[in-house]
Amino acid sequence: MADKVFVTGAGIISALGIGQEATLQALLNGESGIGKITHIQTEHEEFPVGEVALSNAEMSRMLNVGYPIDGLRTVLMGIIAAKEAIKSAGLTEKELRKAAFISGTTVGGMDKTERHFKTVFNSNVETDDSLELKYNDCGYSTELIADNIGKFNLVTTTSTACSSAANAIILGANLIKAGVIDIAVVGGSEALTKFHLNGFNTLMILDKENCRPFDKERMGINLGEGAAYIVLESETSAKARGASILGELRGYANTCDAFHQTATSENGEGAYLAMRKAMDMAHLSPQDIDYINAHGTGTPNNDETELAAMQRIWDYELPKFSSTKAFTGHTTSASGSIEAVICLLALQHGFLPKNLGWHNPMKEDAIPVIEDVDSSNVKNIINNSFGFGGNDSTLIFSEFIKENG
Amino acid sequence: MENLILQLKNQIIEVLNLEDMTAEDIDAEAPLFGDGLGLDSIDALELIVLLEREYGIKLSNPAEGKQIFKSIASIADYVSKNRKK
Amino acid sequence: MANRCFINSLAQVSCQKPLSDEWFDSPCLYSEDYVRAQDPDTKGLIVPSEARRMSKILKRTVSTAITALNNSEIKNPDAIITGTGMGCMENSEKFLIDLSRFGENCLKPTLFMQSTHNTISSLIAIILKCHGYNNTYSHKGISFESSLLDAWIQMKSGMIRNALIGAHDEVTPFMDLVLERTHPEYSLVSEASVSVVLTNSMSSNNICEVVEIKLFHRPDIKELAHLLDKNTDNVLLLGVNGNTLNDKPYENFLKALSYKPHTLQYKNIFGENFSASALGFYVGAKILEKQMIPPFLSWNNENGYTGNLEYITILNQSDDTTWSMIRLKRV
Repeated sequence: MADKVFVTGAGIISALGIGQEATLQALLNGESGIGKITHIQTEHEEFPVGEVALSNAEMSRMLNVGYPIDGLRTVLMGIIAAKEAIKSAGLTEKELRKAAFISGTTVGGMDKTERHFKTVFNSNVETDDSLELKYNDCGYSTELIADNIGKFNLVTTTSTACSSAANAIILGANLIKAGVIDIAVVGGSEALTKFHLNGFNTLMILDKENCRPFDKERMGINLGEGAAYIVLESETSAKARGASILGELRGYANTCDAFHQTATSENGEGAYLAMRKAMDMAHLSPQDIDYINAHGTGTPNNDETELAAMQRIWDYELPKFSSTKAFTGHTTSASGSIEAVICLLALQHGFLPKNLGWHNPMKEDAIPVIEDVDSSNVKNIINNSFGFGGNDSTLIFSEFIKENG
Repeated sequence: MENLILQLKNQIIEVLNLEDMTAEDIDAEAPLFGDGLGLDSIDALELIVLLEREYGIKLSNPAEGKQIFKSIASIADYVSKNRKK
Repeated sequence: MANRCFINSLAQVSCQKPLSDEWFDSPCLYSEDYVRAQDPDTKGLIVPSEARRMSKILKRTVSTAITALNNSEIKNPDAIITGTGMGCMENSEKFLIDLSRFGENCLKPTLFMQSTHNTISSLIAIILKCHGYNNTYSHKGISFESSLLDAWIQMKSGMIRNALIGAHDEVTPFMDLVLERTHPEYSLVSEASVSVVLTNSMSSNNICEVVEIKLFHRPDIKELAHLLDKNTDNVLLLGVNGNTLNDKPYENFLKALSYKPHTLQYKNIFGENFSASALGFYVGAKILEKQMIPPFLSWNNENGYTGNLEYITILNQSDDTTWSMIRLKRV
């Protein structure tokens, strides 16, 4: 029988701050990181976003890195978060050499591409600026992060829009269960870009106010940026290393809504299947789930269909649920791992993150977590990440119970 | 109005990439969404962009499009009353 | 892991004749540095009302996916996993051009919607109404191998019985100009769209078996060479392309081997792009199926190959940083 998969380290950077501790404090204090856009030159200043406070120059100085990384925001944030994850897991160079690094991103170095594109295009690629486009694809972004955090056995990149990081976590777990590796550093990173800010705007799903997931009056998304990685480890390896265990990745599933490139099916079929299959893998029944960290983007479509999927499983007895996107913004490709770290903080510190911005229920019984609740008995958490194209993934994190004797 | 209807037909064919169609193939009164041409929500967004780019009409809520985009005739009617270009 | 992994069918679009194996006997030969793929006739493969919205890469993807499925015993796969190094370039480029020319207003939603890398995998799922596992990998020249590895470990462990995998990359004229400057190690640049149906079932229609797939990151070349055995790896299909910058790592690898294998190439007729290794996989499978090596695929051998064609080992490297090894076996 395959080994259990434990989480033995975590790292995060987002609009809530750098590191697990800053993130925890912001969550406990109910302090959203959403505000005005500052790092990108855009006409669309009307859209609130969840930016990482540091500029590229500040992150580069912090990491002591130079060209080309100093111009690649996805890479800079990724290095910061991955370093924290590896440090918190206490992994040595030797252990990393046998590990996998899997990162999810869709944007990669598009922030850099869009700064140089006009010059390169207008010059018909005769300008030396064209060399600035070399390291900007998804794979290079991941490799630049990897090269700055360790030497790995296997490195690759998932790219499924808003479920990218969740799918990186799933691949890591599958590789561990298959015995290919014992340790995987997995997650994702995504920087805000003019490209996708405008892209989402063309779909008319951005909110000009702070977003209100699961609220009757919700109008759309606040985009965000950030990076987060967790260290997955086989039970055997974690015990042999005496690693401290943050939780267990008890179940997971990846399904496809197969309905439309940007809209979700009315009954949330993909979401329903993802949650059901993850629970099946975890050998948990719906009653065992204590909290759902919903995808909850704040769009009329997502929240309606995600709630419909939840009600297909739990009917009127929904577990406690909330979306944390009103804290961090929708961090797109990184959201699966950023929210995984939030779930792990919740498990370890006995609290449930609030659903900020909420005032009125969509349906009578659909009231998310809006105040402090008794979380002493929270053992199993569902973390949903649903991407464009119906790429739906669910992760289940469970409390690690130390065996006696 | 006839000219506007023809112009709209050609613009819509171009913007929505209705490759095998010509203006003659489209009935101005026929429904565009669901039945008829079978356009979907993304096409509706493209039509919103078309209205702004060609006629200076800005729709801030995609839901407004439902009534306006019923048929070419209803679009022409709306454009003639609201155009800024 | 007791389950096996067979290739049940494959389909390709490239600079060779699309959805065909004509290249095996009479390949198109090119003297240019950049050649676009030959696009297939999509009648009967794609509904016109859906085709209107599809860029070239999406039409090619659907063509190869539907063709591979039609030629296989699987109609609705348990998983759809694709690789793409650069994603939907045409749409991304158009969006960037519009941003540069017209600013941040009146931009087209379709271009953005179909610019994300996972558009490819999800489009196939939407057409097939397939709710199974769906993933996309974008990791430079090993995007295909990443997809294959994912499918392989799931099949081997019994999580899925079959999968539709593939890799797809398009190279626009603008992108080719950029590649000339950023990737001096390239030779002939072209495009690729390859779909493969994998199954764990034995069948007389199976083309060959995938017995091993491994990815490596900055490997020690001697350790890598040690993984190969002259009994199972006597025919090597390499990602060489005639350019020293690209070929040197392969030459160094061969020097580290303890034996002299028969070496083959495929990029001389299929060209280079981030999904080219999927075409290498295609070529390897066809060689085993037909039990013949086309002479124009020979690379640096003194004589023709006279041994048995039991295995083909496909080696690919991207930037001498990531390497992949795939071992195929005759059925």
